[in-house]
Amino acid sequence: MKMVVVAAAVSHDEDVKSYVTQAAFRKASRKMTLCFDAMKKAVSSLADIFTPERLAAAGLILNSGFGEIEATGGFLKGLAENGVARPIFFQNSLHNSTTGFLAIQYGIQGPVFTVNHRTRGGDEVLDISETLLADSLCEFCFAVTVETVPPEFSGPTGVDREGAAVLALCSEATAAKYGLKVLITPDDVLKESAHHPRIELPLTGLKSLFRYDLITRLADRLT
Amino acid sequence: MSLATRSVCVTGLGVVSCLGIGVNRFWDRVERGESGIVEGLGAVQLDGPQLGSETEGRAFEFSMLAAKEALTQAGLSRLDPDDGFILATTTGQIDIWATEFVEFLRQKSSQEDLEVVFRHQSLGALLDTIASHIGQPSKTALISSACSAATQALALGSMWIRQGKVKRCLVGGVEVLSSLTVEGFKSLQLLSSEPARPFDSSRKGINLSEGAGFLVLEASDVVKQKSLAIISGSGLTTDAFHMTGPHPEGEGCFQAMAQAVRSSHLSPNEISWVHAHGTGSDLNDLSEGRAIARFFDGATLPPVTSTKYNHGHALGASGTLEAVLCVEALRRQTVLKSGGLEHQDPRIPLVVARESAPRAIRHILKNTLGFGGINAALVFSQPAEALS
Amino acid sequence: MHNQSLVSEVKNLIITSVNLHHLDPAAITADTSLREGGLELDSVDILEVVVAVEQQFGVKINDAEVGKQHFRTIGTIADFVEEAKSKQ
Repeated sequence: MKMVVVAAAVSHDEDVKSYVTQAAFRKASRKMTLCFDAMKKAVSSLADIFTPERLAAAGLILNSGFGEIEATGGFLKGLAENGVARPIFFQNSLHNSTTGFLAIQYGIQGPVFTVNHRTRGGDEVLDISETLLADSLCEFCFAVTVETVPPEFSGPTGVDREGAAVLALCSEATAAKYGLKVLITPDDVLKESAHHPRIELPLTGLKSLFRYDLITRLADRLT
Repeated sequence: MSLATRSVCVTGLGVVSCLGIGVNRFWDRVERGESGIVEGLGAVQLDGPQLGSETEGRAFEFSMLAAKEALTQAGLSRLDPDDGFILATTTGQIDIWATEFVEFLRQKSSQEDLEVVFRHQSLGALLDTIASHIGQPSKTALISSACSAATQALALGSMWIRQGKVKRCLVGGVEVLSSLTVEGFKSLQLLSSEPARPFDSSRKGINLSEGAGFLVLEASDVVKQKSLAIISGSGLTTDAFHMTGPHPEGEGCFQAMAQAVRSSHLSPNEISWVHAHGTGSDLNDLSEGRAIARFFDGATLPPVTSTKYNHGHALGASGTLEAVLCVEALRRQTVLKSGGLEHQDPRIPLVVARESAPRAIRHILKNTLGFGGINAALVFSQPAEALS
Repeated sequence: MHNQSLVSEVKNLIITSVNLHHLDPAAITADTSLREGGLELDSVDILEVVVAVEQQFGVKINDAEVGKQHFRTIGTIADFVEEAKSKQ
């Protein structure tokens, strides 16, 4: 099975300013909103293909390096300062919260995974997507990477690029079946993966590594 | 495809839990109906760092103890570089960084001090540290899909083997107790201060616990030691309903079970025992119970067990911890009692196992349901030679 | 009937704690339901409101039944707070 990319999108803070006044996003974190917007762009680019039925059967794999660290911090800080444990902060604090939000918003009922790795997250997401597609557990799979850092982290090291990137994936055979243009081929992915930027380990700094993620780099080619 | 071709064999098990260290102790205490829950929590009793890991914390400790037990049983001292390793966890090494993080947010600590410990915040960092101690396997993944993470990890490891990506995969789940999860679940009013009572009409909620469960999976043609069980199939679905509450009718759970049994080329009638997620929460047990009853409608209803009365809910580790019990049940041909049950909830029409007892077991269906509406189901089967 | 000052305080507390800033505050009255047909809050929102009310007013909601009974509308919450504080 050869996995190909048929849609891609990237979202940054400036793309999601209007969401803050919308009811559906009143409890959404920054990561959730960025991912929603990037998904919206990817889904809209193939609106005829991504019907509610196809979305229901799709897979979704999401990576974030820090996860919902902002909500975690909010929850723990409130607990430490006031002894108050805030339910909405907790509901939003798990790494999985971002993924659960997206699945609900897009009605995705297929296989949904959350992965977490600061330097290889995108690679893992693509590998899991390929595994699921190869087993025909879904016809389409959305690969997502997202990173934001708490405002308190903008210290001496500065704030590097934050955002969300999405790739819509399927097999070469599925792309042919629906007459979809292949935007990125398996060879493209291999080449991009081989050009992995060197990230210093142990992981130092509190910076977003979004720009280095494989999904971001692939999506950037197309957006 | 027959079970004998390209099978995914379980060849090693390892456990650290609030019931003690090691698989035999774990099984024995669950079989006897003992609970490791104290004041609503299942804490692991471990006297100091066992492995010189003062800087890596309890999650690393638990993982290494369980991983070594599993690898040893499989006849391995370490993994090969072309093997796979999948780790599941929700909070990873949170015991190392959470306090410093809060101090930093309250402006009582510097960014420099935070950075020293914050390198452990990424769950992938724990994966890499463990990997470096067990042979540096090159194919790895970190799954953090909350309560279904470890079951998903087992499903993924199975797929890797069946697709020929690896011949062997160590799959582990690990979780430590933390203020985040304990106070968080408390804020959602999901906890009970007594041992959980899954499927009981008076159930009051969940007991959070900690621990690690590790399994060695191998392709049937590379197994050195005995195959303990086969992973015959899996089902992976999502409710897309609510962030922390299950679908009321357990629709996603139903579909996951259907996928798992179908992918095993079995019918519901062939399932000997269901090991449920059964957290003891009002909503989970109701929706899961309804889903199980509906799945077996028209078939013989097998006994259903939740063992969370005994060992609590270890979140990211629960799938593998409970998978260990499933594999042992196959090996020992024994169904475990569903602890904490006095008066079954009349809204849950299941045959809940009232005692641990010998039973002819060929196939076990294992469920997990997680936050975010993530459902995962597995079928564990007798090794092929026993079946033929 | 309801203590209007308390109703206003409870209303603003709910708007802030579960982020209802997209709504017109003037449209939220003492009779506005927390759930369907009103603010459309889900179970986790309700828990958040309970926590906020406990902290703001120094009252305690000791069990789920008490919560269900009193956390129905803005006005019933205000009444509960007034009664609880009068007993302190």
